[in-house]
Amino acid sequence: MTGRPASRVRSQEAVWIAAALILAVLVLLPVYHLVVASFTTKDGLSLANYAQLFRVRRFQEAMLNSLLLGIASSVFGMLIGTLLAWLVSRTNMPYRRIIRTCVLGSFAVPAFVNALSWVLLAGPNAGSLNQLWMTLTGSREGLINIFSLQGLIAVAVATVYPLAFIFMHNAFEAMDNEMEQAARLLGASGVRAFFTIALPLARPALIAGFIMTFLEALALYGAPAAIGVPARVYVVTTQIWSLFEYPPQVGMAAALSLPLALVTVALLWVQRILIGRRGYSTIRGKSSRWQRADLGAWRWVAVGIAGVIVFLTFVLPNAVLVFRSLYRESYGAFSIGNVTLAHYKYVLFDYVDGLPSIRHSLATALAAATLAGVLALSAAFLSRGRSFRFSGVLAFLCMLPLAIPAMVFAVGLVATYSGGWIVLYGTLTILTLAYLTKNLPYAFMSCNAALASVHTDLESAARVLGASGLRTLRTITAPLIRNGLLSGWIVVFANSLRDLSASVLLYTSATTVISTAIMDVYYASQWGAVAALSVILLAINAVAIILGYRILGRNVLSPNT
Amino acid sequence: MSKLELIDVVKRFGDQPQAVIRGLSTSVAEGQILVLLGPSGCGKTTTLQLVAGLLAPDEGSILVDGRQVAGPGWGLPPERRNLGMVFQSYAVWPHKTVFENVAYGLELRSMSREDIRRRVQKALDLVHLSELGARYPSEISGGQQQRVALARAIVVEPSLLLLDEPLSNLDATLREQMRIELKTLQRQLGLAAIYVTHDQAEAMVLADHLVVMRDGVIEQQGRAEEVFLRPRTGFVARFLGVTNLLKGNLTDLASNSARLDVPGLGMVSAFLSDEVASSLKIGDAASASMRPLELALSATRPDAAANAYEGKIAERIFLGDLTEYLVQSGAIRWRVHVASANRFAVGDSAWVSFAAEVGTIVLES
Repeated sequence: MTGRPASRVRSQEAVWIAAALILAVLVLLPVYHLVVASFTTKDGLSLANYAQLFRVRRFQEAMLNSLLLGIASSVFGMLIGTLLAWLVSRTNMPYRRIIRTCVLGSFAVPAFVNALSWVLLAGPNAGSLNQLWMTLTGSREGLINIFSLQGLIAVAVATVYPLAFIFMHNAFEAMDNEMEQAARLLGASGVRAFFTIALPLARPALIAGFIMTFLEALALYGAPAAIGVPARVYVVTTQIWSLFEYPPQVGMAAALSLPLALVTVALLWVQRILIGRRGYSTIRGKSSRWQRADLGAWRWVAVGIAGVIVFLTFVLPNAVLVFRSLYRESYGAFSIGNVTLAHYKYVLFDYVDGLPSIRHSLATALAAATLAGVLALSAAFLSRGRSFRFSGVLAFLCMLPLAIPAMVFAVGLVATYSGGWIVLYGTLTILTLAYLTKNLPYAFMSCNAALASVHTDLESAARVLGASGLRTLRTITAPLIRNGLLSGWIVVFANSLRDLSASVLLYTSATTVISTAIMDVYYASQWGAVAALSVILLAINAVAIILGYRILGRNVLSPNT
Repeated sequence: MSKLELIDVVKRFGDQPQAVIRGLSTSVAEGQILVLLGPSGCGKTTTLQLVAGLLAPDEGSILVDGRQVAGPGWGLPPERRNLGMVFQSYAVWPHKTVFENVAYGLELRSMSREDIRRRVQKALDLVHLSELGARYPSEISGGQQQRVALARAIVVEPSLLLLDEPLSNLDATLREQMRIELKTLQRQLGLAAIYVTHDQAEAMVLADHLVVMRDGVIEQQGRAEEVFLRPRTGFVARFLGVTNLLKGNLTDLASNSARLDVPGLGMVSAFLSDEVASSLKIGDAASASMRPLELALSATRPDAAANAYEGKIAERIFLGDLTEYLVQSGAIRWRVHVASANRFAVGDSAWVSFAAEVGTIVLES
């Protein structure tokens, strides 16, 4: 590399320092205050909060329940996800595309909405399935009670298995067909080739899948709050939330949060170690005709099982949501006269938090997505080419929030901004900060991938032809990374919109957002309003994604054009 | 007995109206290499996959060692055919060491640990990788991975070795070296092999029996020299190397020779094989193919040559040992390769000449 003009280097260094400072305030300050708060009691610095963790039974129960929920969700989630991924990518099961679309569609549904849908389906009294059962059989009791530990685990599995599916599906798709063919030619049966070649080759995805589904389940808040709490099953996240009831015990909440963050960091580190070293990328063969395993008549059994899974986890919950949002609260047989728009009218015009929460959600999500985009792009640009000794610092700061569950980060924000010089608690700004920081890694990854795909030769070619640096940026670089930037923006926007676990600690009656408003009407047992608001949330989400598709042409979720 | 026989094999892929393989018949003799040569999409890889058992034919049958392994709509699974295959991607398993890769097939044949170790070592010796058994594929070069794939395929002593463009991912120098090594190894082991490639130079070096494919049918097959020197069609003539292909109409037909009237040039006398003659009659359109190196270039009209045409040197291209001249005579632009010492300048007059047996009458295609 040749040297750059001295003045440019100096101005770049100034921008670098500014970016590093902003990121440090955004990311490190809340973590610092979180740690400090966990050691603080009204008598000053002490270990009292941590001592409580070991002394108080409900904290220990919560930690055990979280562990159980995490393990059960990740084991069952991986079993279901791997099975579906294999059926979809490696066999001749019919209707593969529809199954795949449904699994991926579950991603667009926020985890807590999925949990509420299941209450609407299988709540002991209000659940549609139970009402149907009672109408059909004349029984006085419902069929299923979702309010139980099993119910919570089932809903958590339904929430995390699409993640397992993605990991395994990508691994199976990327795997060269010839790897298994080579084993077959040497005398291995199809089953043997799968277990000795395909599955070991997917090891990185298996490890990542287990760890990510475990962490996802551990960080869940909506399902444990909606399903666990009524069943008196408490997990760490719901305990943290209860510590914020008056009088708030921020120090205690911080002490309960840190183990969550530590487990996350430790597992991400383990994942790195386990996957590390051995290179798995290989030269691809020519794209020979994809040979799918022929399941014979079993393929109808397979599609039956897959169909039931996606019906239960995607079709049914969303269908009941739409149905309940349009149907008057009533028991007894279905009647067309009960179809109504009253719930929508209520949440949009009569419910005091209805419209404001939608406005707040849109404003904070827009701000978070835009700011995250600007910050991530600057950081990605400045980290590019590694021209400074510390250029890795920006990337590290941007990626760090990945290791901090949203709720834990929110505790840190409360500890930082509810006293002292700057008080942001109770403002929309603190919500924006939470969304922005938590989603910074996704914005950064999009920008980085987009920039990495622009070879510096492309820019050099423009410079050699006489374009200035700025003109090159405007006419060459910017158009090439536009898609990556936009897809990052959409991801942050959608994630912000659907957040519940950070919002629930940060909102006040003046700053409700859609997710907290939904929980409020849920606690008030206004089922129709829950359904109507959820449908509105899903609709905004869908519009963002569809608009993205329109603009980007199908590359919404992959930054490289 | 042939190691492999393909009889009238037809393969269709579901939705496509035209079959990918349309009635293909050939055979591989003991200890010989059959090379399937053709442009991409000609069906050569599909043919190999049919032999391997990765696909089943729609019509025809496939025999290995005289035993039928595939017929219309059915086929033994690959693991029951006792074949060795080297893939274009090598398909060396990245989660197994070099030793474990090579040992995999032997483990499936439930041999003793000691036997496995001995035979793997012998196979690694053969491909000059004796020292690398403990390495992972990511820790060795592409050329070495290639050798691992080869060792893995031959260690199980297959009836037939299948090679699917195995050298196409190597750089040019290594490729030429591996060609020779592959040939030596195959001779040494006396293995019959099918080798798929689109590289005519590779095909020439390796083939005992050369099969040129196009659009799912065999365009021509035979010994490599035979196919190179006496192509049956214009396609084969062009695919096997640079040639002068002149279109015209047949005016005379005799045994083993014919005369062609080439518009804008005149009459050309050339060799005509019985096989090509059987599908031609006087007045039919046909072409004559002459390799540039077999043409002579002289300042004056040569006395004895059956074919001689005056022209002007349009371009001179220095190729090293040889010099290529583009000579314009009438409507025809000749490509002539001559030793570099032989000097003409652009604009000079010159005569292009050749004996009747130098040219070959080929079917148009």
